[in-house]
Amino acid sequence: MLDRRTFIKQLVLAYTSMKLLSPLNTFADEKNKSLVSICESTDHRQAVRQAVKMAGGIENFISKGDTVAVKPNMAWARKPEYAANTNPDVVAEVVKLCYEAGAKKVYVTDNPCNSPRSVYALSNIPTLAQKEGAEIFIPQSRHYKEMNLGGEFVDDWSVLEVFHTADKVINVPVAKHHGSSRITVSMKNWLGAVGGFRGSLHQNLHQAIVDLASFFKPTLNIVDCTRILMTNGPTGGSLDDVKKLNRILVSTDQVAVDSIAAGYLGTTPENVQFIKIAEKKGLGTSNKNKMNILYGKI
Amino acid sequence: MEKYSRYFRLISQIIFLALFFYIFFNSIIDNSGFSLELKLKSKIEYIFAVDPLLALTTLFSTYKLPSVFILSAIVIILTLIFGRVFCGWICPFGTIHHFFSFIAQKFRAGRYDKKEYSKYQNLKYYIFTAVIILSVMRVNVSGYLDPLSLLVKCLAIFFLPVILIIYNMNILSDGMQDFLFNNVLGRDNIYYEQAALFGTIFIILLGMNFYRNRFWCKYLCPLGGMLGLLSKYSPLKLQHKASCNSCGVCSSSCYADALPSKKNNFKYSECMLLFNCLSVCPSDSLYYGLKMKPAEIDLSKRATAKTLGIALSGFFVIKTGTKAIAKSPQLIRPPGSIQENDFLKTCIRCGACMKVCPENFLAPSLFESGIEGLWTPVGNADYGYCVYNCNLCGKMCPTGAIEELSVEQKKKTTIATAFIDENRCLPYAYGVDCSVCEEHCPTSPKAIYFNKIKGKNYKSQSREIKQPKINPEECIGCGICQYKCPVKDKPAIYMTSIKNGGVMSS
Repeated sequence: MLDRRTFIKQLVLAYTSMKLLSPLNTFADEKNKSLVSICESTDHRQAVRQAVKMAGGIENFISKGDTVAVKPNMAWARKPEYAANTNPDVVAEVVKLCYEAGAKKVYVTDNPCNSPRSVYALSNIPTLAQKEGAEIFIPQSRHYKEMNLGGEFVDDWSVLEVFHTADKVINVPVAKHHGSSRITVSMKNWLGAVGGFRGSLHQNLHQAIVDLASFFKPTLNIVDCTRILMTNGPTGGSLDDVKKLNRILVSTDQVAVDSIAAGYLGTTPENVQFIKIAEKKGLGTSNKNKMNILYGKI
Repeated sequence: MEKYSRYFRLISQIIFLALFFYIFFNSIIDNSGFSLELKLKSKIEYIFAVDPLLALTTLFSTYKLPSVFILSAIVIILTLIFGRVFCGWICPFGTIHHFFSFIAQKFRAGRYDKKEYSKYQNLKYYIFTAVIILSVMRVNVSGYLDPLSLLVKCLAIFFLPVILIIYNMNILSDGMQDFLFNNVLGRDNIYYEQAALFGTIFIILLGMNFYRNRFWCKYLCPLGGMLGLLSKYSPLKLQHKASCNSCGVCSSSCYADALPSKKNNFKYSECMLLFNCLSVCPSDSLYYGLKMKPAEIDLSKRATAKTLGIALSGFFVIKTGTKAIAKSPQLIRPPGSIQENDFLKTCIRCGACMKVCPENFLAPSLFESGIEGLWTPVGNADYGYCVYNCNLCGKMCPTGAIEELSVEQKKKTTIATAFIDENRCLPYAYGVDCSVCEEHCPTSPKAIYFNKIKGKNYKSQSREIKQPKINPEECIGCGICQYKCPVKDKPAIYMTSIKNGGVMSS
C-alpha cells in the first residue's frame, strides 16, 4: 500500500530526475550557475584584464562615480616573490581597471599581521597601486568602527570602515596554504578587514571566516594565483614553498573561487571546513557542475 | 655687526635643532618606494658620529673606531679654532636647554647676577675625566652622560610615547593625525617599561635650567668638559676693548656664567660663544677676535685624585654587578649583537636601535645584564617582536655593537628560543583550537608544528586536538608567537635567551 508520505517522496524524486535528465533541463540553467573565469598568462596584468573581461567586463561591476575599496592580502613583511601577499601587479591592474570604469576614488588597504611599515615597504603593493592613482593607507584606530556583523560566532567586532562604506568592494586575495584554516583564498582574506584582537577568532576560525565573508559581500573576487604558496602558509618564507601558476580567477562567488583554488593548493573543497559551512549557508557553490568555468590562455 | 652675532648663533641653533629632529623623527621605515630590503628614511647614526666624546670612549674601550666617527674630527677642529662653538651653536641638547633657560630668564624675578665663578662648574671636567678613566679600563659609561646619547634616549623612550598619547587622544585633525602617524611615530605600539624613568630624568634636567641657565651644559656635560679642555689653546676668543668700564651687564646676560665682565678673569673655556654679551654691552666694548693667551682651567690635583678614586671604586661596583649571561633568561640581544663582553664595551646606550625597531621589540634593559648593562638594548616579546626581514638595528648601530647583517643572514640568526607553557596553552589546557603562534611563525619550515592527538576539550567532547610544538633547530627566537599569543596577560609561549633550546643538533 502506498501511503501518502511515500507517494509524495516518490513524486518529488521522479519529478527531479525527469527534470535533470530531460534535454530541457532547467535546474542546470546557465544563468543560475556561478560564473568563474580563469585566465592564464605570464603577463599578470594582461591576465587580470582578460579574466575580468571574460567575467563580463569591469563596467558590469563598477559604475561611474563609484568609490571602490580594494582588499588585497597585504599582511606579511615579505617581498612579492615569496607569495605571502597578493602580487602587486595584480592589485595595480585592478586599480587601473576601476578607474577605467569611471570610479571616483579607489582605496587600497589591509590590516597587516606584521609591522605595517615593513609590510607596506616590502610587499610593493603601495608603490604600484599608487602609480595607478589609488589612495593607499595604513589603517589607524580612527579607520575602524565597531559594527554588528550578525554572524554566528562573530557579532560585534571592529571593522575597517572603508570596506563597509565604499560603493563597491573588490577582494583581491592570493591563494595560499594556511596552517589553521588549511587554505586562505578569498573568504579568509576578510580577516584583514577587521581590527580587534584577531587571535581570538582562531578558536572557531572556520565559522569566523564564513561570518566575515557573508558580512563583506564583495562585488567581485579577483584571486591571484600567479604564484601560490603550497606549504608553510600563510607566511611562507622560502621560494621552495612557492609554485608558479600564472592564473587569475575572477568570480562573484567566493565559495566557487575558493573551491577551485583548493584544488590548486593540493586539497579538495570537502577538506576545507569553511567552504562546507559557507556552502551550507548559501554563500556560493563548491560543486564544479554548478559553476560555469571559462578558461582562457594568452 | 657684533650686536647681531647672537642672532646668527640663534639661527644656527635653530637650523641644527631642526636638522636633529628631522634625522631623529625620520628614522622610520621608508615607505616611499620599493626597495629590496627595509631601509630608514634618515641615517640616525650621524647624530652620534659628530660626537668626539663618544668617539674617544669607543676608541679607548674597544680599541676600534667605526669610520663614521671621522665626522667628530670636524667638531674637534672647530673647537681647536673657535672654542666651544659646538655647545653654543650646534648641540641640540644645548639648544633645548637654552630654550628652557630663555623661558626661565623671563620668569626670574630679580636680576640673574653671577659675580664669582662657581667651582662646581669644574664638575664637568671631572665627570669627563671619570668617563675617560673608566673607558680606559674598558667600561663604557659615556652613554649615560653624553648629551647626544642621553637626548636620543630620552626622546625615543619618553618623548615618542608622549606624542603617542596625544595621538591616541584623537583631538587633532585627521591631517595632523596622519602626519603624526606616518612621519613622526611610524607605529602605534610604542611602549617602554622605563619611559617614566627617562621622563623623570629628562624633566629634571630641563627643570634645572630654572635654577641656573644651561645647568646641564655648565655643570654636568662631559662633552662640554672635553670641548672646554680642547678650547684651551683656541686662538679666537671674546675680548675687551679699552673702552670697557666693567659695568657687569654682560655677565648677567651670560647663560654660560663665563663672567665676561671680568677683564682679567674671563673664563674662556666656559664661553659657549652665545654672544649675548656682545649685544647687551652698552659701550660696544666686546669683540670676538684673535688672542693667543691660553685659557685658564684651574682643576685641582686634589679633586682629580678624588675623581680617580671615585672612578676606580665605580669600576669595581659596576663589575660586581656583572651577571652570568647564561643565568639571565630575559637577556635577549638584538640579532647581530657581538659577543656579550664586547657588547657592553661597545654599546653607547644611545637608544637609536630602540627608536628604529619597527615593532617595539628592543627596549632599554634594567639589570638583565648587571649594572654594567643598564639601558643596553634587550628584546622584550611581551611588547613587540623582531621582524623577520628586518636588519635595521644592525644597519644603523653607530659603534658596531650590533653588527650589520644581510637580510639572509639575519633570517638565520638565532637570538632566543620559544617555550610552551602547557598549563596555559589553549589546545593543551582546554583542548580547543588556536594555532595563532604557528600561523605567525615566520621561518620556513615553520619552527612551530602540530602534534595531532585524539582528545577531549573542556566540555568533554571528543575531537582532534592540534598541540603546538617547537622545533629548536628552526626557532630563531623572534618572539612574534609570544607577542600574538591569545593568552595575552602571560603568554603561553615565551622566549628565553638560550639558543636552540639548549639542544645540540647533530
